[in-house]
Amino acid sequence: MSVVHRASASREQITSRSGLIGYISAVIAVLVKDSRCELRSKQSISAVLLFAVTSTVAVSFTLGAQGQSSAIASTLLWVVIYFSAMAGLSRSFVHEVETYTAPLLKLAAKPNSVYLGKLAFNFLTLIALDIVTVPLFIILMGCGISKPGLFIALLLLGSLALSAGATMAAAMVSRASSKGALFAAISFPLLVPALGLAISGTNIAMGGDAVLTAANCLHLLAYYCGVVITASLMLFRFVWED
Amino acid sequence: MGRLKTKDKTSAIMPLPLQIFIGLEIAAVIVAAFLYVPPARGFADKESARIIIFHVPCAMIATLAYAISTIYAIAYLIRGNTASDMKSAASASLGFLFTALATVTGMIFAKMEWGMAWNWDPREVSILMLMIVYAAYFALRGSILNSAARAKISSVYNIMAGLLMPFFIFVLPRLVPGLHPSNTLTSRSGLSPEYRIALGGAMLGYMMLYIWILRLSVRISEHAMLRRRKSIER
Amino acid sequence: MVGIRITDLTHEFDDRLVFDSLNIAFDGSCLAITGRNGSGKSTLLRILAGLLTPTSGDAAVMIDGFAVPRDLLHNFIGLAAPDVRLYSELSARENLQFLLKTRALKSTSEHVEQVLCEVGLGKRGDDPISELSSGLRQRAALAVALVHEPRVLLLDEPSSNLDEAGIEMVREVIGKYSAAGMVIIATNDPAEAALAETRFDVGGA
Repeated sequence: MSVVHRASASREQITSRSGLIGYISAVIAVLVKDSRCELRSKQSISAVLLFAVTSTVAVSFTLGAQGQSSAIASTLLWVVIYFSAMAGLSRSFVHEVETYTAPLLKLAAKPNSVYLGKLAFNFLTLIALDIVTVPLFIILMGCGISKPGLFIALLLLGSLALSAGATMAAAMVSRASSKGALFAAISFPLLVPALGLAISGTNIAMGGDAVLTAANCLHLLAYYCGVVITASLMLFRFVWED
Repeated sequence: MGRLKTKDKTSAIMPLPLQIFIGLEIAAVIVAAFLYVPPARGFADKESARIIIFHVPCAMIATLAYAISTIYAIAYLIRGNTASDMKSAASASLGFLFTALATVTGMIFAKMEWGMAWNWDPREVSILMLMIVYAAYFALRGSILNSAARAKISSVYNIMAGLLMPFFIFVLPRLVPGLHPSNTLTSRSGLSPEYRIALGGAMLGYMMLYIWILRLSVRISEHAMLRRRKSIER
Repeated sequence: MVGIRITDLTHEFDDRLVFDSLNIAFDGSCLAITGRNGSGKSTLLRILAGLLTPTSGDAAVMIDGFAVPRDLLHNFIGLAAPDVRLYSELSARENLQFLLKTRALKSTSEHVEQVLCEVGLGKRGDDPISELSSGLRQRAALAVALVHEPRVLLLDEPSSNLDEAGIEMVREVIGKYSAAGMVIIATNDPAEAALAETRFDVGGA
């Protein structure tokens, strides 16, 4: 039996990217990969959008014609966004585990690259959700936005906050057995501060009153994002690695 | 079965004199709460204040138990020894019990004093959030079959929820409109000194009870683990 | 110089003891790990690859005398196993390109093309994995293990699902990589095991 001996294929063809650039390109690669797979299968975005649109219609069906107070409208808007997130964001990790692609990712990427890439993906999913749902909600509910700049800032920060908590929760739940209901159950305590702040701030943006000022809401939301993302960066590898 | 090993005797978990002391002391506190302590002035329902003797220590031990379970969770992630994880879970379950007790006693007091069991008072909000965190923690623990993964993931969850505690205690309550400032227990200064003694006694008793049950429950977990290891060797 | 050092390795999977106090020191070029089903061959490979933390003991990959720390194993190890699957919505080429980027490696498209041809996927490299037969998927999995040119190649039953041409291809790959670094094969197949110079039997539990 002869062993065919070939010269090791050109080491010159593979070079490694240095430090930060390599790290960022890994994160972007994960984001692009998730986006590409999602665009081709359309599984989680359709679940998320379907849920959001149907619940928006259901809510405004009974309440919209009467012109609701800003407190109710802001609460309902964020409840719709929150539950849509619960419907769709767990797929980022659960799907990898169920289709046995998770070991591939563990072998080929640093844990934090995976976390940041999937955080970015979940954030973009929520932004897409916002773009579709919010105008629909505003039209159907007939609510006025007296401070549009604040409103958009809250949507962005709030979506980031929701995706930060949900991404970590999704990673935790991907190792568990009863994934669906458990995801919403463990996300709730983690996301409640963000939800409360987003609702309060949106209430102000819609012209209502709240105990905290708008600036406080934004600061606290940003602080929340900082805490959750930093903690996740430190703790993610314990959830991801075996 | 043979004789119990030395460290399994209950006297090793808590010395016998202390066991007797705890039992008598808590009994004394209960008796004192109803017979020794006078009805409170400055309360709508003068008898309602008696439950504060039990409510406040429960709430404090609940918070302490959570803090201890988080510390052990951090220790587990750093060192990887299952003993830390066992202590973390044991402290969490005790904390859950005390939180439930604090919530119920709080609701009884609120109903007697203000006519409504739930008022969205800041402290009520915090204790409710603590209950929800515990419930989620145990749901998570219960659903992961692999023991190493279970320990790691629930420790991470414990720590993350712990990091968000400032939000639960300071931010969330302030988001609820229409606070009733008179509901907060500043009126404790209006309580007669007998209340202070009874409160202190309850605090001591519950603290020792917590330590005792914690050590017992850790020992039971150790046993369960040893039995599993023996069956593996076979 | 590539070697592996396995010291007192014990692994329990919940209530089952997979293996107990394994000791292996190997510096050669090709090792076959054999044993009955369930004896822990795949688990051993996973521990070496850094996917699993063993219950006790140590399994290290040594490069030039130094043990590679677990978080740096990405670029030194390649693993192809039945329960490590590729992304089915992507093509083989896209999978390869993705896995190079996550390792912070930059490569030319010629390199990726060459790896695809090496495993026999030259014509089907752009079809989604979901459209490939199990034999072609096996080849793609092998490509994924090779594309970053690891020093240690871990193969779990590499010839399963393959036709004769495929088996010959695996043989060539093993030959090439054992000359350049180290190949460890976990297998039940005597023909596959015969490709290695040394055999280690994990036995039954």
